[in-house]
Amino acid sequence: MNPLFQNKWLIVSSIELFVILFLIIKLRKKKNENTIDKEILKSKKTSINMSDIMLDINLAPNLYKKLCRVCHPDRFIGTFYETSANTLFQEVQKAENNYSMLCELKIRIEQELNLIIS
Amino acid sequence: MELILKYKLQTSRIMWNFISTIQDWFNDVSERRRLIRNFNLSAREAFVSNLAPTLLESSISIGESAYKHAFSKFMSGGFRIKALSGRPLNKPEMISIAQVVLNNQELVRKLISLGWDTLEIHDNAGYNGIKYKLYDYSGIAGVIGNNNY
Repeated sequence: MNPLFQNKWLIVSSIELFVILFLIIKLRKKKNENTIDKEILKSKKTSINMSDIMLDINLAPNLYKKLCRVCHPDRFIGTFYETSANTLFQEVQKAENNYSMLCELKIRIEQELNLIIS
Repeated sequence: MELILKYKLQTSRIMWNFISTIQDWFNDVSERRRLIRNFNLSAREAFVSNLAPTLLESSISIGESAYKHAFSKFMSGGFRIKALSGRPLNKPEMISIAQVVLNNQELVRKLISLGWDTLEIHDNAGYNGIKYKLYDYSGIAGVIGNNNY
């Protein structure tokens, strides 16, 4: 057999070997991926209720404004409800874009501050 | 003999990895489409039932190349929400829509894991829109940001 032909195959096989080695190194690097990356990849499977998000987009801003106005701590200065108004106002601010949380807070405000919110 | 066996094992592993990446790619595509369909369906329901004053529609866009991360998809990293308002939306209105998505950490993480990197809010009448880097709102951006990819 021609020695040149043999050399060709040697070159091809060595290139193949390098490619395989490169892929193996890449695979090993992938195995040592950050746990945070894995955490993000896990969230692929979480199901999200889109109708809740629509409620958050459309109804939460108005309810937030209303609750902020109703339970603002300045309205309760020097009264029995001052401290609870403070904590409730802070919680309302935290749940600005969460309609379900705001609904729960509305009930709490009605109970704790003795108010009727229309 | 042992070397040949090792070589065969390694090549089969590589092939298996290649097959699984292809399978993952198809799964991701179907999951992305499902998320967009669900969003559009619920937006339509909210509009029809008079809950929402404007009809929202989500779609896939190219996205901002500067906002890319390790999981972002090639040429389809943008999650665009278009408000069919009939008039140009002002900045606070766009921000309020974006804030709902960005404050929902589960949704942001899901968007990142499915290959989106940019959140775009647009209207159908004006020329203005806003873009957000999703990575910054995942809640772990500070830790991931230190790594070099």
